[in-house]
Parts: sequence; C-alpha cells; structure tokens
Amino acid sequence: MRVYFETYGCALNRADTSIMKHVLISRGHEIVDNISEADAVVVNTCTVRLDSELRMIKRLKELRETLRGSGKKLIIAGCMAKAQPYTLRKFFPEASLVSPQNILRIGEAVESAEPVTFISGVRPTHVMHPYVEGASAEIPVAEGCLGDCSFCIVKVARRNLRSYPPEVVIRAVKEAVNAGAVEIDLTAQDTGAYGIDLGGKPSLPDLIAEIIEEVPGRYFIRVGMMNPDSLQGFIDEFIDVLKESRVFKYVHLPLQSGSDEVLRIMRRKYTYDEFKSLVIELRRKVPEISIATDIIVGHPGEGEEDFELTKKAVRELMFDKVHLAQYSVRPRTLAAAMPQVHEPVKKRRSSELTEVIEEVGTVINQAYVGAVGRGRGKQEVF
Amino acid sequence: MWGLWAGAVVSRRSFRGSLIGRLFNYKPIVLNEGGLELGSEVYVVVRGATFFDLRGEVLKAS
Repeated sequence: MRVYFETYGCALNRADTSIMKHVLISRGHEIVDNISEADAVVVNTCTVRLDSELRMIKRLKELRETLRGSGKKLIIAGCMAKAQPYTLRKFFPEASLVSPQNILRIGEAVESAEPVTFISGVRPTHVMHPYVEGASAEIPVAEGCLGDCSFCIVKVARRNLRSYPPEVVIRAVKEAVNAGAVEIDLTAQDTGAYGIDLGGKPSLPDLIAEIIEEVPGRYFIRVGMMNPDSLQGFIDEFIDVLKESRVFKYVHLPLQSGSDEVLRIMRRKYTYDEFKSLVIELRRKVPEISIATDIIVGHPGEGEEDFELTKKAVRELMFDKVHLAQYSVRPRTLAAAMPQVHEPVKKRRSSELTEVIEEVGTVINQAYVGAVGRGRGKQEVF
Repeated sequence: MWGLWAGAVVSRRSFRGSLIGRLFNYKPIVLNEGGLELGSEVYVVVRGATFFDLRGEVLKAS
C-alpha cells in the first residue's frame, strides 16, 4: 500500500512519523510524497494550543473532502488522537485513530478494512529511528514527564514518562550520523527527567557521555527542553557535559512566568529566584552558553503585576531566545476550569512582551557583530 | 565574547532557501552562500544581527 504522511507539531511528533514510516516500509508498504499517489493518508496531529487544534480540524476536513469516494483511508495519529478522541470521532467517524503510544501498530491501521481505534497502552521503547532532515536529526530520548502543569494538554496525550534505553538511543544516533546528520537533537518533553523510570534517577549526563564515547564521527549534540526543577538535581553533572566539545553550549529552560504566584497556579515546581539561580550558575560555569526559554502570557490568575514581573524577568535574565505563547484553554486540563483572562488582555500582553523580547534579543545578538579581537579571535571554536 | 572568526556547522536550509549554520552555542547564523553543502563546517564572520538570528559571511570551509 502507498502511504502519504503529514506531520504537525513538535520534534517528538516528527520522530514518531519517522518510526511509523520505518514500520510501514518493513511491512512492505511504500511512502509517497504526493497525496494523489496514496492509498492511505496519515496525519500526525498536534493539539498543544487551541489554534493548533483548529488548524488540525480544518486540515482534516479538507483531506476528508479530497479523499471522499476514493476508497483511500484516513488515519489520524499524534497527540490529538490520544487527548481528544471524542472530538475526532465526532467529526471523522470514518478515520482510524492511532495514539503516540501505538505508533508501532500503524501497519495494522493501514491494513485494516475497517477503521481502528488504538488509543490506550504505553509506548514501547525498544524501537526508535531518528528523523533526519538536512543535516540535523531529531532523536526522542523519552516520552512524557513527571510534571503536572495546569495548562498542559500534552500531559494528557503523553502521560507516562517512558525513557528509551541508552542502547536504543545510541543505535539511533549512529543511524543518524551514518545518514549524514551533524546536528543531533535529543528531544523529550523534559530531557531532564530522562532515565528516572529506568534506574530511579535522572541520567541525561550519563546518556550524553555514553553517546560521545560510543558514537564516533563529527557531530554536535543539542539537548532539548528540560524543566528547571529537573535540572536542579544534576546541574553540576550537566555543566560538565556542556563542556564537551561535541555538545552545543545551549540549554532550553522554560520559565513560563516571572511571578511566583502564577508559577504556583501553573503547578510549576520552582520559584523565580530558584530559576534565576540556575541561569546564574550556568552562565558562571559556561560563560558562552545561550539560553532559550518558554513563556506563557494570560494564564488564569495572571494579573497586571504578575505580567510586569515576567517582563522584568526577560530583561533581567537576558534570554537568547524566548518562545512566547498566549495561553489558550485546553480540554482536560486544570487551568481550563479556572476564571480566564480576557482575550484582549492576553493579546495586549503578548504584544508588549514581544517588544521586550525583540529589544533584548537585538542587544544580545548585536554583540556578536564585529567583536574583533575580544576573546577567541581566530581560535577554532569547534 | 568571541572574536571575528567563528566556527559554524551548516545543518539546515530555511524555507526561503538560505543555509542555516549553528555556532558552538547553537546560535543560528544565516549564510547566503551558494556553494555550501549541508553538513559542512565553515569559518564565518558575523556581519549583522536581528533579534532572532545572526547574518554571516563564510570566510572559508574548515
């Protein structure tokens, strides 16, 4: 059977698509780039925000019209299949649903004469294939996290922490490097939680050290998002790993808010001062590090003073990159039931914070221009 | 801060067709060079910057 894929959302979704493609190829199916050539269409969905959900439904409706009367199958995979199966069943009763935990069953879904619903279960972690695009590869080291954030629907879609064993990750890194990847992105919902379900303690630094030891070649590892409270437990070991020449001096540490009260409502497990301490320690030990963060504006409970604290935090901590999101209600989350911040207020705060982010980013990046003779000079930095 | 030269690894192509390199701290640097291949390592000079990324010129392949 010829199968066409559309993939939306995060690195984990892209990696899941890669695994599904491998499964299908191993069962004798063919992956095609054009929907007109396909016998089945797989849409790997994202529902992290309301606009993502609406975009998915719009696209799925378009595809349904395209496929109508053709006998071609529609298979909906990804986070939406797990977190909102009722919504999908209502709009698309003819489609098969395959949750992220069931990606190895994609062959059954494609081959079945009737729509199937593969929703429950836990992710098998013995099979992984990297998603390689250009010269970069995305490798999921784990699914799920140990947090319980009020706003997060991904927690519903990928509930349990399931780390891939080191040997599986190493095999995938080798596969990616052999395929020409020079940038190896280790991704997870919280890379800092990696290994807790395997050996009872976080073991990301050990994993990275093992990769460097076991996988020869010219490549550089980028460590994906990790929660601040996870990093607190092993910051010294992580800093040691960051000093390795094959590891990008980079960390993605989501702050979410500069207000302790909002952090409490969000069920984040740290205060602003604790977060700030991590940033100070990272910059003290790895001065060239670049730090990316995530911020949500307009979360329930965020007043004007709280928002001002977030603006202050961005200026104070001088993030290299900020992924800014305007809060939107997600079903089956705690924050959905809280009194909401009005839309115009969220929009204004988003605009105001965008200005601050651009101002800070410009200052930081301008310092890279023409910085002749101050530091490394002609020294090779790789 | 680092100096005139920086090493970058070219790992992606943007949707506009430019090549995107990464400095050692993962800072993105846009390289409008025709002859580079994905996966190559180059020395660059940072000629400009926006809040979002750096703009670089390739001095030589490393």
